[in-house]
Amino acid sequence: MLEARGLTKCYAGIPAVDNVSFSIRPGEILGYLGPNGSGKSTTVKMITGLLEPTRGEVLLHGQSIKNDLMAYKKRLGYVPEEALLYPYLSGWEYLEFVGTLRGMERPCLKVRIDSMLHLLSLYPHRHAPISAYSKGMRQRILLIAALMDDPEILVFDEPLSGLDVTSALLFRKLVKQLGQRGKIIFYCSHVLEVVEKVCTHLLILRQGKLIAYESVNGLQKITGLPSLEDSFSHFVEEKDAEVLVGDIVEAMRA
Amino acid sequence: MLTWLRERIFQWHEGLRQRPFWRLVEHFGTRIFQTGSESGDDELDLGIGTMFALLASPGAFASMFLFDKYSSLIRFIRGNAPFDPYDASLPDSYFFIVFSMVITGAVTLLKWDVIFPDRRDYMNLAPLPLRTRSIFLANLLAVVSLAVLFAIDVNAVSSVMFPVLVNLEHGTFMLFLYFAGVHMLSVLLAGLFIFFAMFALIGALMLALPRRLFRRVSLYLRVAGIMYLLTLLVTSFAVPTVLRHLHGTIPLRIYLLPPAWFLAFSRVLVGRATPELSALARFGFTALLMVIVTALVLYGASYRRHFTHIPESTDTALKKRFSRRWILNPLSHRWLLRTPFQKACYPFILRTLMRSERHLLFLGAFAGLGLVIASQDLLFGFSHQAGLSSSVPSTSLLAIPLVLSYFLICGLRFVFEMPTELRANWVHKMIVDPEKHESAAVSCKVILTFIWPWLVLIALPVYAYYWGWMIALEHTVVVLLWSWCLTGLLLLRFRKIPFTCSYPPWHEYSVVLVVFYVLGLYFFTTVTAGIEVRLLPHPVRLAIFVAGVFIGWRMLMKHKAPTPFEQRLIFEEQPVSPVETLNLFRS
Ligand SMILES: Nc1ncnc2c1ncn2[C@@H]1O[C@H](COP(=O)(O)OP(=O)(O)O)[C@@H](O)[C@H]1O
Ligand SMILES: [Mg+2]
Repeated sequence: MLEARGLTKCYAGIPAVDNVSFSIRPGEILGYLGPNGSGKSTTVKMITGLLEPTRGEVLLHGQSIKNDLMAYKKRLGYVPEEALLYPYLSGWEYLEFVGTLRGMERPCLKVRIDSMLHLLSLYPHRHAPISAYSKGMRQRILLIAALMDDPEILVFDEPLSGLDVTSALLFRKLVKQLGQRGKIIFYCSHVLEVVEKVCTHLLILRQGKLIAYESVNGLQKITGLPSLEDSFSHFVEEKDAEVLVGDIVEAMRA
Repeated sequence: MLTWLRERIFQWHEGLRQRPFWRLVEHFGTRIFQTGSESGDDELDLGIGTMFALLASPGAFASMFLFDKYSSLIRFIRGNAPFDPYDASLPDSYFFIVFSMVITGAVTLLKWDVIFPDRRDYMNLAPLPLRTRSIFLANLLAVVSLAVLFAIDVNAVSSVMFPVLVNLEHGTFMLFLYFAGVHMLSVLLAGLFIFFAMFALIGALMLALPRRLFRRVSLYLRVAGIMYLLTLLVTSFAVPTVLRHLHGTIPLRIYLLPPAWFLAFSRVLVGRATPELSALARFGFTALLMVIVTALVLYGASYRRHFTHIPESTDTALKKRFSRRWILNPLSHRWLLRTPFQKACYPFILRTLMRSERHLLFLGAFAGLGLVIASQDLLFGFSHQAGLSSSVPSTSLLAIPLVLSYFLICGLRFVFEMPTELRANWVHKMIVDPEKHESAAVSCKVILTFIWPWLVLIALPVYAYYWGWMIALEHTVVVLLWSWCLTGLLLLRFRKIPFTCSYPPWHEYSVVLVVFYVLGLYFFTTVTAGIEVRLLPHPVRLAIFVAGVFIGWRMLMKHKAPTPFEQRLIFEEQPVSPVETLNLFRS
């Protein structure tokens, strides 16, 4: 079980994530929702051990991840929000590089890379440098890099950005099935539709503060609104969208 | 046998590649040769092989020029006196040491940002099960071994040819080997010294400064570093004489010249050292050891501090800058920049230039060269008694602003050709009318912005203080006009918006161009100043002369003005030759 207790991160004294706690059991998929700048990526970085929390801690099976960070990272697959790859490597070379650094066995590594590249339809482009890849292709490379060591915990930070409809659909089904296979999945997004279809639990964040944490069915119950869409905007939005749109059109003519 | 060996080496290499640590070392090693930018195409990137060959070639040329000095036949024809090659080799040894330092130092300065693991590395490596320590050690190992390789490569040819020349007639083979070994050791140590010194400097800076300031300051330091290297190079012909006649206490400035330490070192090993040189060699050796230790310690400490804190830092080095409103102030908007194109492009060009480290670095190199030459003029001007007291400044004192403006103009013209973020130039392609643009006009204004203000605000008062307002005004007007003419000539067929077009291909006539620029420097500075010395006391004659040149320039510009078709704005350079070059080194 992956558990966060009272996670807090302050940048220059201002909290970006403020006292957030949750836990994910194997087989559960936690959807981590919030508008831009609400502190999702900051949480992700703390869960993956990239960022030291100001307060609070992250525990795996009751042990603080700081106790053995290497072992923890070995069990972790992470898709970061920005696809910062080495543009001069080809897709294949990049994956092989990551696999080697993860200490994967050689024959197994090659087989997995090739089959994953096939399955995500990157195989024809495997020898092109990443600088020539589109955003969606880079995202798929990141996905393969996260999945190929068959990790126990998966952390996705806005994994759908740049993916086309087919890949996005594929990805959603994949996440669902990985959940059924008993993985611990942390799924971070600002798109409600996806999260709603995939996740078992939802956590909504606004300005770093946890404002709702429920199972997917539970959320509708507490807000009393018919759809999740409404309950999401109920939680997060401050200004009426119609008014805002009107203002924008005005500003274009000013 | 050979295939077996090759097979073994290949297997060994493959085996190493499978070990995470060695894979990291390889990664950091290859990364240094890659360019940082995402698009990759706005960088002139040469293959590793080409780069090594290019770096080795100046050493080869330099040794070839020495043939003439050591060859007994040529000396015989000239009827020279008895000749001790070891003694005669002192200045050349010094030159090779300086040369090794300059090239190694320049490469370190250019690759300064990729030496240290950056954000990209952090984002890719930190989530993997790797210890921070092994990332650090891998990086260190890669960088240091590359530095050693570079130093060897830069000196490869000269380490063989120079000892051959020196031992051409007197030496036995053993003597030759010994001399070659000493030479190689001293140039290598010199190269490594400068590398570690810069490495220590980076480490100290990273440790002492907050990240945002670090980038700023490091740029200034790099430019200062380039100037220092240029000074070493320029003085490399004068220092050996001083070293040879060193007696008693060694002056402080000799201690400040690391090449002198390593020369002393090689002299000691060859057995030709005076007591002074021995002392210098000991000093140099201690300094080398100290620099290496300091570099490693500082680098380790700064690594802990910076690399592990990358996610906490934002990449917004530009966040807080004092706004440069003067670029856009209403006055310049009304009078200087008349059309929308100019109003948009002038600030764009200035901002791009001021915020791109690579461009500033190259501009800094040009300016640095200018400063080195100007300071020599200054020294020369003051060392001659007549300098300040006479009614007209001497040629070398007059030449100073001319030299500076010449290098600034050429430097700016040069960096305009260097693209940044080529992928972003679609904006210009979308909006600008390629037939009707004023890129030459606006570029000219940018260049003169870098020159006219200091001419009027600094040069004019200084000349006025020493030689009176009349002389100062005349000279300033001449420099103002001359810089305008030069800028106009250099931009005659310019049809790019600076920084938005891909690199021009390497022309065969680029060498000829360099000769032209050197000749240009001579005419622009020495000849002008020479004429001025005669004409400054006679304002009317000077006015006639200046007006004549100016009218000639205008007519030339009219005559050579490009046709509308030649004037069409371009964003991509076509290679001039009908045969496409094979881009073998770019996969
Ligand atoms: N390195 C940083 N330094 C200062 N503030 C930061 C830094 N990273 C993020 N923040 C701030 O923390 C808040 C949350 O950011 P983030 O977690 O990236 O949001 P999200 O991923 O939900 O869009 C934002 O207000 C952002 O400005
Ligand atoms: Mg985010």
